[in-house]
Amino acid sequence: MKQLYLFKPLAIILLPALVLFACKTSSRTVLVPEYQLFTIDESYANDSLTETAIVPYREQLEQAMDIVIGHSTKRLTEKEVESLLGNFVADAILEQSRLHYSGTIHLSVINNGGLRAPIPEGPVKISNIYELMPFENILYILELNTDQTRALFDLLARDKRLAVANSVVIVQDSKPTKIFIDGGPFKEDRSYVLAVSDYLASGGGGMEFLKEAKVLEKVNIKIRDLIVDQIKLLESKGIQLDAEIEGRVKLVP
Amino acid sequence: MIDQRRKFIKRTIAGSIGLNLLGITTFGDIKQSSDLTILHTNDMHSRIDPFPDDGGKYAGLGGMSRRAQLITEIRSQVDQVLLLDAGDIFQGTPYFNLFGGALEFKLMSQIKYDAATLGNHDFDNGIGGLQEQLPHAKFPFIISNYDFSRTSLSGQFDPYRVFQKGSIRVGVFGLGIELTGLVAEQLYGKTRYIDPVSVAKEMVQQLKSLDCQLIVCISHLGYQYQSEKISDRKLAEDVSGIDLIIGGHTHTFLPEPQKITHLDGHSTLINQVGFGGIHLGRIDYQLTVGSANLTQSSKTVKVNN
Repeated sequence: MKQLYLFKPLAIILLPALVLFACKTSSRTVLVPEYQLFTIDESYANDSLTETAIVPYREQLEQAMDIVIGHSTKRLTEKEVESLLGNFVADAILEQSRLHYSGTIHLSVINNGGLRAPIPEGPVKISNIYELMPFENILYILELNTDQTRALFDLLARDKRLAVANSVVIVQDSKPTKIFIDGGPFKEDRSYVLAVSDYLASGGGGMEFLKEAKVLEKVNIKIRDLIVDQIKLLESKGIQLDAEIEGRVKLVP
Repeated sequence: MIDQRRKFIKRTIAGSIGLNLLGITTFGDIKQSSDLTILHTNDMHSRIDPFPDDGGKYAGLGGMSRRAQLITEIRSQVDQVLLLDAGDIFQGTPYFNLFGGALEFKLMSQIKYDAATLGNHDFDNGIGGLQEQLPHAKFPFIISNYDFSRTSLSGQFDPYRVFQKGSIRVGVFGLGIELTGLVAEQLYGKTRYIDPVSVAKEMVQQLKSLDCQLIVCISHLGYQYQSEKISDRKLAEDVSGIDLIIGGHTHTFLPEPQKITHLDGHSTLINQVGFGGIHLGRIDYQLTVGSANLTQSSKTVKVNN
């Protein structure tokens, strides 16, 4: 795949897609398209006018972003089913939201689509977390009834693009066959408390069912700041960021 | 010169029939003069600087200063350039978080973008956040299927524009994706989404009535979906008369424009060039007064497709 992005500018003739249109005279005028693709790489110099406009912004930005907040034992990336990055972020949201909400929180969830960049191995800067979580989403604490809890795990099992904390799900044929939340099996006769972004809470990421859930609290703190705070907390304790694939989502044949 | 070009065209038509079903023939480094050059980007996602050199897939690629340099070079080679963007200008780097999109709009204005359409992420700071940055954009936003009349953005955007580029009249309209489920409701407010297919049909009629020779749609619908969701491909199939769709949203990297041919013989080209300003697409149109020969050749090609 990578090769595809690196080939030289290429000219392509698109003759059969001629644009024909009638002119006032009886002869026809034809627009013949030809295609060329450019990959912007280091072979292009910086346009000085553009660069001049960027510089003051870049300096201000670097000052704000170039701050090491923690260290990671390895590169944490996102992928389907269960991922290092998904587990780390879901845990961070759960742990940090417990510092902002007085009641019990049973689980947290984050969609892979919301994780926009990996956390690198070694020093972790504020900029890495902005790239990971660029969105200005805030924290919602929701109370899920049985149907909503089930719908959440149904979606996870179907799409395999959600990361959960404090939960384990066994998936067979894209359906959850066993669900464990907060150390115990999922029970039908009770509710569960979920820490989640306002984006998902308002039905984004295919979670229409969350729109019906009871909002216990809208916490005016950004999800990004929760992650930053968690990394700072670990650093202050001398702990490096880490995550494992530990079987939170188990696929069985 | 013209003779030479015709000979060249005839040769490539013959070649394309033999070579592939798409009828798109690929050559290395062909440079011809152009009567209209359309340059396009999509989903630049606040990628002002190149992707960081972190060993990732796109490390070191992109960057607005380099793109500006390339565009300046192209402008020095051809007279008529139409520079378009298909939305999601905002969101993806801290430049957006810190400055709200001001720099993106300023640079695009400086690089002389002719128009852009709106992507879902352009609503990420809400209607108010977008409105706040609009004074930095010296280019129009073209969006045909969002009704902003009940929002503070009422009257800020055009449903279509006609660009006179040399002797060619280009009609441009814009299509946005359904916002419900993609963007938090409090961000898009009372913006109303209108069915893109019916709007596109109206736009084609409107732009034809204004004597546009080329009809271009800048779209943030997305290239293609497994579901029935409206996409650029579906739009091209459902609506005849659009010559070119410059797409976005799905971050699709098409190595070359894809062609959809209608029953009436008209063809629509669809292109999309990934995201993050990694690529710039360029489509050169040659204006040729067709001889009987050429017209016939064109018809032959269409029948074969």
